[in-house]
Amino acid sequence: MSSNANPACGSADHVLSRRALLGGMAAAAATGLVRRPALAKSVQGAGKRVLQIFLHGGVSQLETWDPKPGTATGGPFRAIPTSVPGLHISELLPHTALQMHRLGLIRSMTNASDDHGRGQREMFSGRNQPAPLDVPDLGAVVAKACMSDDFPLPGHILIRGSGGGPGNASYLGPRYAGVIMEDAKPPAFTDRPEGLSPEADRRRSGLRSRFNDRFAARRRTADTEAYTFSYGQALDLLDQRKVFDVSLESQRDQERYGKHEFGRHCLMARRLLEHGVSFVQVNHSNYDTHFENFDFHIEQLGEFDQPFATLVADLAARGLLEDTLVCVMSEFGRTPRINAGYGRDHWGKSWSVLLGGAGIQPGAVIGATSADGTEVIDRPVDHGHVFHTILQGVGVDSTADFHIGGSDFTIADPAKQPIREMLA
Amino acid sequence: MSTVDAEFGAIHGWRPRLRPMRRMAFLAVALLACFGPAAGADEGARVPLEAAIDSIVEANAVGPLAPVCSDADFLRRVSIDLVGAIPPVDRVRAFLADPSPDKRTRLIDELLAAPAHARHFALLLDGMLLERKAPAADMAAAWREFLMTALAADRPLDQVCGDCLASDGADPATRPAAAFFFAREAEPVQMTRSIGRIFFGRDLQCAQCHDHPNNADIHQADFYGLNAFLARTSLFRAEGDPKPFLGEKADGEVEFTSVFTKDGQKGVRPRVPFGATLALEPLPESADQYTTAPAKNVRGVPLHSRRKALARMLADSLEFRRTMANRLWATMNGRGLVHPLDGLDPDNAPTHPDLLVLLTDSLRASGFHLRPLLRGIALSRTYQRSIEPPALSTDALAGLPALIDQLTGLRPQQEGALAPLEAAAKEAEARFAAILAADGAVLGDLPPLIEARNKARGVADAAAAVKKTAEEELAKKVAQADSLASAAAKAGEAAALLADDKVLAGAAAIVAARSAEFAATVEGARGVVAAKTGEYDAAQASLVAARQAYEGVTAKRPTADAITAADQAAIAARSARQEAGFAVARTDLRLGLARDLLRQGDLAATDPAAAAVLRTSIEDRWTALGQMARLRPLSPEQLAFSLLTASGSMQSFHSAAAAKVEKEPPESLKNAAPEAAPAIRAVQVELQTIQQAAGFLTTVAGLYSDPLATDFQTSVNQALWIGNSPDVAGSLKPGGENLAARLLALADDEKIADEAFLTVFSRTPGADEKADVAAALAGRADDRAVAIAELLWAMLSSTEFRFNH
Repeated sequence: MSSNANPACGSADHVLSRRALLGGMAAAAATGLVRRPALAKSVQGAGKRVLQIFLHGGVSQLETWDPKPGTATGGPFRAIPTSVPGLHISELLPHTALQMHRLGLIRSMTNASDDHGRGQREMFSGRNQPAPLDVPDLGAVVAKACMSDDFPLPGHILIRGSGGGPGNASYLGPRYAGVIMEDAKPPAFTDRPEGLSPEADRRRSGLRSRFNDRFAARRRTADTEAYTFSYGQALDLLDQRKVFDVSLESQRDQERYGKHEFGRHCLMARRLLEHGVSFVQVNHSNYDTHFENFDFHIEQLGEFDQPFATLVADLAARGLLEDTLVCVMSEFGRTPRINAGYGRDHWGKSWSVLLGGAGIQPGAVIGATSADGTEVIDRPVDHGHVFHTILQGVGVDSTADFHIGGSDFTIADPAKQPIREMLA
Repeated sequence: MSTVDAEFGAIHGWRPRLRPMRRMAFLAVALLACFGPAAGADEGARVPLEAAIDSIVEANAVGPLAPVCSDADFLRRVSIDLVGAIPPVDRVRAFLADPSPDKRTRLIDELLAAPAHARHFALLLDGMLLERKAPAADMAAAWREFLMTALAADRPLDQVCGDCLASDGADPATRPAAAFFFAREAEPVQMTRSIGRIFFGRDLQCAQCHDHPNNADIHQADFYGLNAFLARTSLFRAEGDPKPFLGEKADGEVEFTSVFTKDGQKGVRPRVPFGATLALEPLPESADQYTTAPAKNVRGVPLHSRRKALARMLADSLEFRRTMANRLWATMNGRGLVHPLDGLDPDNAPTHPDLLVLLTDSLRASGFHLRPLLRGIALSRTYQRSIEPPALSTDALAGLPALIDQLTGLRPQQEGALAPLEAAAKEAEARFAAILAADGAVLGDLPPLIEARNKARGVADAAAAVKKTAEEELAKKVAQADSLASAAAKAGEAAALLADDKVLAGAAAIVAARSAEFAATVEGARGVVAAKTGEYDAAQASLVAARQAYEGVTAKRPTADAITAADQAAIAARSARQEAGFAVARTDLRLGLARDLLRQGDLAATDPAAAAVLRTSIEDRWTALGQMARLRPLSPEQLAFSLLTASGSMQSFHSAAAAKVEKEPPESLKNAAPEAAPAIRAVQVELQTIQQAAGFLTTVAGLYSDPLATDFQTSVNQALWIGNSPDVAGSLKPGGENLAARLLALADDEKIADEAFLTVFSRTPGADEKADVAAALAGRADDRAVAIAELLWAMLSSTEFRFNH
């Protein structure tokens, strides 16, 4: 019986035979040495992290990263200088402006989508929609590639007030599915049920172990070992439950980030990243400003600016930014044309995304739009390129395949490439 | 017996209505008829499927076979596999106490007849067909009812799958089946990949862009051959109507170019993967290729649907039958003979190729009914073996050197058979390619001829119209001339009678002159008719000539019989070659295993760690060869229903469902004929039970499901849910008749141990386990309910509960 390994279409350097693997695991189980399947080197981005800030509803590129003051489409706000000489962003982001030397901008996003659901799926999955196959979200891909096998916490965490996707893991399986922290509260089932003391929990776990040991005398496989291992992991996680308690951060930090929702969520994100969680998403809602775009952006960005800038500065100060890729994105941008209700509508044709930190060239500005912002005039890219770039930033070969259950799955859209000039 | 039969009859709508005893006889005959002469038996001898399975597995065993499992293991295993949950405690007690030797057979028949069997397999088919994609919200209930009704009636699998391919959503009776396409937006590339994987056992994804780099069997033409059935179909929504349908075009050919070699093909013929080609499509004779031509807001319905042609070709596809047989085996044994289920290739042979052939043939012989196959598998010793690895006694190893000699001798023979079969396969392939190319050449010559013919037809039609106009004109002129002539005659008569009237005489003379002049006009019209008739005759002659030219060329097409025969011969030759290759692979597998078995004895003395690794690998191969049973995780649905059954919630869900159906009977039940009502009611109660458990099922599926159902995945989230969720904690609190309440009412520790073990583990506890229970309850008089909850939790979260063993 030869191996049923299926190397990728074209690239064969990360082949892993499922049967060989299982044999190995079972053997390890038999000798009491259980390890989860290791990913081949080329897919591995070990130890790195991704922070995704999702400005839900579609933030206006003109009120943020690509201001066009003094034009018919520019709106009332000025552009201000940043810590990168010559780079200007909207005056609504004064704190972020001082962090731009750590970050980079893509000003030439262009994709067909102007529907919230579709835009969100495209930005989360990096694939054109409808995709020919159900594919995992960025968070699941990052967790699969970057999380170590014995990591006790979930590797894909979504912090939100409202909105945001479900954290689809698709074929990567439940271990990589998004775990949701509604309003930064601990994930589901990390509280012992009422009346169950830690002693009682340990007692019943002891009894479970006795049953398991007895059954193991009948038959023991890699699967039974992995199953019992997961309960040990759950107990470890309960021991580390404090990771999910943002109130344990210093009073001073809580004030620096602000007591409002987004501030608390950013502080929570910092806490999770510090504890090694591979992927953290903070969802900030809502930017869908069909009416009174300018008032809304003053309000929303007023909430966004300081906590975000504080988070970037803190990550840098703590040495975490080197290994943490930060991205700020939406489903799409907003129309340059200002409508009759002083609003801006959905716009996928020319908008911006921010990337920074791990693997990203600090101060990079990719692409440009026309003077009135209605067209991309240089280096058009889309969700697929951004997806590749983020993964490359954290050291994952985005052109490789995942091997799952004997099948190959391209990690990112093979028709797209990373934005090389943005990578450090 | 009679209750069982009443139930059995109740849900077998398709069966003739027979009295119970005769029904059993009928079933026995039907089953025997299904499995014809197998395993080289004497002509006329009928070997039951289970015996045929065992004879293959046992003849190919290497080393010892695990013994047949205990009654308790069997009851739990077969309940989980056939009805999707652990057995209720009453059944455990009754089965363990039953001394009769045929109790396993009766249990299997009872489970296959239970409405829960239809429920379990409906959920399995749901998972297989939609791969955990949700059907549109307004279709979810109808989709489930479609599957449940089909399973309850043991509808042939090819028909259920055929409906999924053929339904365009327009006929209310088959609309639910269109969920298969709707869930994938009918996108042709996605449909090609899904249908290739689900129905034909191959993942053709790589072949979308080039020949498969590692599977010599999979070519780009295979992807596009299947794609050609699907590429004309698309999702259709009329303006203002949110309901989706499928529309289809009558034209549109598929072509491809390899991204590597730049080779390609145009006008790819629709071809079932590794099977028959749809070579004889009706030629486009005229513009009316549609029942309804597509237009804005109008759904196209072609006269000849390629998608429906694929549905019709399913049953005759060896790959379809083999894939379904492999899936059924996987359902019962935790893994296919080919694994992964979509991974058949020359380098990934089935572990028992002849067993797969047996199951594949049996599926067709049984008319694609699942139950005879499931019954035969469940009855086999192979299915019923223990999960415990057999001991390696000296006796067990004694025969190995002889076996190694035999296999070493066999291998060159098998290998030697490959080359001639390979040559024969290539030759048959080339013959079919040639006949197809000849046909293709004819088809290639046709377009100008069709154009010429259509043009001649246009000219002839126009000439006919012109001729008709001329003839009408002539008729008009003749009538006018006749009228004038008769007026002239009358006027002449009148003028003769009134001779004095000069005015009248003048007028008569004018009329006579006009009449004489008009004759020339008539002659002119006659001339035109003659000319147009000539033109018409010429055009007709051209049309006849054009038709003859067209027919002369189409007559050169190979006959349908010739194409089909060549196609079938090529398929058969390829299959024979493939089977021979698989036979070599099994010989290698057996040889390697035999050598390792001998080796591991020596290794144990010198290197215990290496011996343990080798031992695990040996156990894997024993499992793959069916010498011991596979330890396998419960599916999310099996786990959910087993948790509910153990805690006692299932029983309340079921009663609530029955009460609901009684109180608010659905239309289908209200309108049912009295004799059909019990079957419909049973289906409705099961649907309602799923509804009652829907929240719980969704939670468990969300935590435990692996959309591709390939690997065992376990996550900390699952352990957290079992450990801390109100779903689980709540079910461990005493309430009503639930398990916790029953245990709390028992004073005696031993009785508690019995009841808990029989209910949760479907077996009696051993002495050491009774001691564990006693120890867990000792000194807990004050919080006995809590102590019982701890005990139950430890059991429900154990490996013994999580796995099917």
